[in-house]
Amino acid sequence: MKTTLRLNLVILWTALFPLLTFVFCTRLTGLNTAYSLFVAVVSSAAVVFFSTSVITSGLIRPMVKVSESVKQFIKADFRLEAAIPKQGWPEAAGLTSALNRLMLELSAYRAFQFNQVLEERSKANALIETITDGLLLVDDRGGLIYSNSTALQLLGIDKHAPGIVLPGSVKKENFSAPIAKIMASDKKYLTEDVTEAVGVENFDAVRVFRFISNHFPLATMKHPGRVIMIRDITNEKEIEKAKESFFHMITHDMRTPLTSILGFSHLLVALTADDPKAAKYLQFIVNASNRLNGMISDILNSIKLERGTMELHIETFDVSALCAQLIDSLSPQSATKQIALSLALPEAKIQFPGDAALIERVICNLLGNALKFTPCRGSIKLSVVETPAELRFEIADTGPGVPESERSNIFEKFVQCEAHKSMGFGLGLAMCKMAVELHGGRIWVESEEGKGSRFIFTLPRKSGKAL
Amino acid sequence: MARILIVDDEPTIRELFKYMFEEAGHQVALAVNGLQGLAALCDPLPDFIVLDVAMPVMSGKGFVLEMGNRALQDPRLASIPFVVMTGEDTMERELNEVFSASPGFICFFPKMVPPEQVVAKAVEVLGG
Repeated sequence: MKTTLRLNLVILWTALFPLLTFVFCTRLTGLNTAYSLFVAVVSSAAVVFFSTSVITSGLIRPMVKVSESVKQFIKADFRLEAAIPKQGWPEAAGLTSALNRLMLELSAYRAFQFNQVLEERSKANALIETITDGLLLVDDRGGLIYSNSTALQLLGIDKHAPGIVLPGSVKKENFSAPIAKIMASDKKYLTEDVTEAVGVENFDAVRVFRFISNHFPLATMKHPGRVIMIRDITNEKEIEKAKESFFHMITHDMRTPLTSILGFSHLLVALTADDPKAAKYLQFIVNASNRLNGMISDILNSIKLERGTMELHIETFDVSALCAQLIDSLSPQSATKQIALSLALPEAKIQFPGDAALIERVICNLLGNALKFTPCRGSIKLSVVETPAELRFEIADTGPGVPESERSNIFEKFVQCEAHKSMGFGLGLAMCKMAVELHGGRIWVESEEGKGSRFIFTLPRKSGKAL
Repeated sequence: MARILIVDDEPTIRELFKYMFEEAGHQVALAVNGLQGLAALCDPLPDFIVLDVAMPVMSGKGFVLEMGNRALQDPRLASIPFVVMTGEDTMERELNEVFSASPGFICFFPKMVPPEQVVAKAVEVLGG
């Protein structure tokens, strides 16, 4: 039966009962009016008591029980020990049931979310503790939010506890300076290198640490926090140093004897002018030394270009003469393969402002490649076209061509066509690209497989990066 | 009325499903891991099983494999329908194959799916 109907009946019964009692007493039992009224009042009190207890057990008691259980549920950190027993009239029981369901689902959902958070945290922890770099998360005031043990150890902080503020809590003096600098900076991304003596046993060990810092958004705060990574870059520094000394060795220690060879060869050429055989052999020595010198230049140029430390020595030079001289110097090589080496230049002499030595290496590399890959009795042609805006160089050969799939990346460092893996360093074309681009020009290849290739580069008259 | 077995190590989930199934008029048995779940596979057998994957002592996978072994002795076990509750975003393929290969397997439910969906699936499988 519906609760409303029940309530109506109880109230109706409570209202009618004294009236009926009064009528019953006066009419049927013959009691006088005063007595009948007394009996009616007494019975009215009894029926009110009875009705109240009916309403209490049907509605009020279940409500109180539900209310207590919900309070208990909140107090017990959203854990429901046992479902609330269903009591009372259907609507009260329905409410109990709905609340039971709500509380059970809420606690299950909370437990699920909590486990998810724990799992995510332990995943992140495992990753962060495994990496060898020190890692710190700090808020915008330097408060330590999170750190791995490597970072704490490096900074000399015992353990992560509330109230640690960087750089104040850093025990190692050398490390507090870069952190202070990072915290004071507005820059989003920055790095700082610090040298620190470490270890007691090997007291003279010095290690270099790089502090890398980046902003990261803090969901709960309005300001960005910072992630600071402390990386031991001692080995990288050592490798860099070794590389430096190797390049120094190439520039000086290899170039010096080569200069002697070339210098004395030239002297000998003059001394042996009357002996054609000796002159011929000496010319071989000069050519070979020049090639070696060119290779050394290419390595050094590549390094400088890559580092961005290449300085262009711009002066106006005679492009026609340079091309003619290059073709001339390569003619002995082309002769041995019976390759027809030709040069096509505009009639007027070309004067161009650029780094002559670098442009010479570019043309020399492209011609050298053409000579390397063009089969016997083929042909190679160097042509230069001049427009008001730019110079356009083209080195065309009758070699095997460059497969289409490899055309886009042959200008990358150390990339070589599959078929020519064992020939050369793979530095030449990369150097050419960087040198041309530094002049503000472009380089590309047009090719037809089996028929030949055309390597083309342009040099603008102005607009080069350093021009 | 059907007999429902709920195998899950998380007490709040067990209580929630117990309540939901009891509200729907079913009789519910609980187990906190695969091993307890296996112990509950005795007469009268459950009509439907709600199974968690990651549980200590014996996982959902272990439970299904062992139930498959026992089905060789008691073929009734092979036909008990079960649904698998998984918290993983992507199920491991091997795990997926173990469950899918079982004749009683109905479907996966991602946690936290609204529980009435699981109850509705049970009602559907048990023929209304």
